[in-house]
Amino acid sequence: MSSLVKRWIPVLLFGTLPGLVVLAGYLIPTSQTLTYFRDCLVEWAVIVAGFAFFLGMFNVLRIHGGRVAHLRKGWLCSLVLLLAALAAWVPSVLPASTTIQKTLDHVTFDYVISPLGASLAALLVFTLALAAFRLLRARGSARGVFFLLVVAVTLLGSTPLANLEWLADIRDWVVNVPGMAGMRGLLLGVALGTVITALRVFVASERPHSEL
Amino acid sequence: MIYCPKCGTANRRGSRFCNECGAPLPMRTALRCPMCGATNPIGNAYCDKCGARLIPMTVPPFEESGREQAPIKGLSLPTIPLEEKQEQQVEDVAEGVGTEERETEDWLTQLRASTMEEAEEPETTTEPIEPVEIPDWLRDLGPVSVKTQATPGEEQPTTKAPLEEALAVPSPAVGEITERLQELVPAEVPDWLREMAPPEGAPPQAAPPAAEAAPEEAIPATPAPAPAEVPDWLREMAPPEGAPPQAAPPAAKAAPTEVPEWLSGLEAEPAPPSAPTTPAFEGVTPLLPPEPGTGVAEAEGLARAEIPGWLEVLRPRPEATEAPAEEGPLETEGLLEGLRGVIPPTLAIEVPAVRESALSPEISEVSVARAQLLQSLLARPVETPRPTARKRGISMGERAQRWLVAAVLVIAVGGMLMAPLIIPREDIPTLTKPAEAPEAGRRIEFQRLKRMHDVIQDVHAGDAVLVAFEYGPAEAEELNLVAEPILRHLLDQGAHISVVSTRPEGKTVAARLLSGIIASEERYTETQYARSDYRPGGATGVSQLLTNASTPPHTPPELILVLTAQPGPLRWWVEQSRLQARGEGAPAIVAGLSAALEPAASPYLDVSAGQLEGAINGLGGAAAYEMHRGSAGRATQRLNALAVGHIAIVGLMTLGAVLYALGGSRRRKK
Repeated sequence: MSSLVKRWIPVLLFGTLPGLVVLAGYLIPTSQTLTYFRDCLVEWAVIVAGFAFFLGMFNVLRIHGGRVAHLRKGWLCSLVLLLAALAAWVPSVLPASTTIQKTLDHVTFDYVISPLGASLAALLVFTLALAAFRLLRARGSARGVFFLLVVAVTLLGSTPLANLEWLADIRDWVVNVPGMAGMRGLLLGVALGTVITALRVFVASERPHSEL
Repeated sequence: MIYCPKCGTANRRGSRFCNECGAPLPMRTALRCPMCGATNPIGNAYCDKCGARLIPMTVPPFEESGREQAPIKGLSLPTIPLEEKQEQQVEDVAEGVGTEERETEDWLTQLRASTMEEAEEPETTTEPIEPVEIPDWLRDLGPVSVKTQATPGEEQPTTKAPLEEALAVPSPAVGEITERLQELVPAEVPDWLREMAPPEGAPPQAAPPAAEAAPEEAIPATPAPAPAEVPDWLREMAPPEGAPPQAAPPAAKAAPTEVPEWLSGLEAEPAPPSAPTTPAFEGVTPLLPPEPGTGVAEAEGLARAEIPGWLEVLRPRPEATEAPAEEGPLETEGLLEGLRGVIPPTLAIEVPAVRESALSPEISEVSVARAQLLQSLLARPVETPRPTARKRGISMGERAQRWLVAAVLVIAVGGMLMAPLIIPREDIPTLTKPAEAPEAGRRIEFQRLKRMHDVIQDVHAGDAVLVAFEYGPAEAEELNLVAEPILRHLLDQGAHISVVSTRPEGKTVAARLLSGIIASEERYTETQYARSDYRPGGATGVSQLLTNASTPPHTPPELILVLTAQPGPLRWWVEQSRLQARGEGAPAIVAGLSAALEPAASPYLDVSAGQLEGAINGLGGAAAYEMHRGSAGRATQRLNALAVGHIAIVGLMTLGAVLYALGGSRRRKK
């Protein structure tokens, strides 16, 4: 009795039943009732996902706030993180379309977030170029040479270089024949995995929402 | 963990080679295989190289009295169990065995090379004594003794009592010798010994136990004979149980005169050499000559028998007797099964090769002090500090490589981007040809671009278009250039754009881009850019965004444009939009993707699938779209820089491949 109340009723109520309702809502779109419940449950899921952001932010503040309060190792970096979070959070709570809100938003995004993001992307390009330079050092084999050739053809074929259209043809074949075949396999695997996971949740064989 | 001496990588304990660089890892303490000599980590039961067993059955060590031997893990150990040894010591003390006899017993015990298990079966231990191998001194011992006994001037012991005693105590010395000689070398048994044997077929009552004949003269310290040590002929002579001792006259009384005097002299010893508790050589041990000067025979005037050479060789040296007996473990399997102590594994400590020192052998005080300090340090309890991974510094070569790559990229890409500021744009050489060239029309990429263009061209003024901004600032440098020509096309068509996103920063990214585009052209109005919506939750958020967009007062979208650099959002939008809107009313979906996402989008772009109507990928696709529409934009302007950057990276790859290929071949030659 205790196991039924503690384990199976919550699983059935909050796991299996909502899943079946949403699934039925998609499979039987003509049913207004099912569609209504489906949309309600999806909206609840979005609210829960939004609340997860709040929990994540609260956790970050708690950990780094404790580090700053006790002056533990790395407290200065934690202080910078807290100040940055505060600076990014203030514009979002100020009344919209006010001058100070627009200014803070503009400064934060255009002079902090965007340059940092672009710098990270550029750093990734540099890292990849360095790795390509040293590829044969780590993988000095025929496969390494073949990999280098494929990378070179794909890079040059992506750019419509004048008088090198044949490279673009090779690149198109690489992307659309072996590349697409591999990608289809990945997508099929993801789809089958999703179906199996959903079935396991429906029959309560897997309970990601419960520790019971 | 074992830390690689070359690269500092932490490897699992027991590893032979570094997982990172492949360098052989040091093995500081190891077991050296007795068969192949390979070093194995402590704890290995079998050799890693040849599979030989390194740790046979471990048995508590055989120790000398009062000396404890520290057990060594992984080494072959002596074989006598500690409990049995303690019992044996207790028995020895109770029997009052003298030190001389103990000494004799010990070195003979070593000759046995067997365990107490074998001692429990004396018959088996006597097997090695082949009859033909009995030395002459044993055969001649009888007559010589007789002659010695006959020497005048010496005190003659009584003959009756010692003889009765000798028969009463079925000493293995006499009985076994007689029995063995009768059984094994009957032709060479002297007559005096043969006469001692009972006649065949004699009634058992004829020889009652001699112990009953002279019980008062039995020496208390005489050890109780083991049943197995009683000769068969003596056992046959024993009277039946319950029979009165007077029923038959003792045989010893009947044959006192038949026993040679040399034997009586042996029995006259105040402390006759008691048989060892577990004699291996039955009947031989008491007759073995003791140490010179301490022997009983000399004290009695008996000529000391000569020990044959083969037995003398086996006699241990004095220093050898001090060392604990090292008996190897018993092999229980394999070809060596049944053997003991065969090539035991030894503890091996790898010592790095050290050149011979040219220093003088004189030891200074400083050296002594250092040695004492080292000794004191070694005597401390071991606290193994966790070795820290060696910090791997960047070599000059690697540093040069980094600078080379960075310099090439900065000069190539930055130079092309900065060129229009220095020289007129018309003078800049064009490396690319993104125009609608005839040869480009057959390419799949261009066909997808053209389909996308046609779909957007079909959008009428006022139609709702849902634009999903699924990228952030890190991808904005590429995707803004991709999105701009598509958004301009939509605005030119008079579409009503609704911005949605499942990323928190998507709304801001969209606002920046659309504000800039609308501000750049007077024909665009702010009303064309309606609302922005954000929903977290991945696919669930996409589902709700689609639901909201189709719900009044919103107009269901005619077209969905997905702008992303990640495969996940593309899949969500394709799947959820196909799921919600079925049939004829399903909006068309087009996409502006990063160049890296083209393989992931290819399955959706298949014409037969009909999931994505069209797409453009990367800066090249955006430039081609601009050229297709007949207006060169920012993507076209940056295409040269992209081409130069790609060429530079390919050049670096080629240079690196050549350098490392040459370096590798040079190393192989060395």
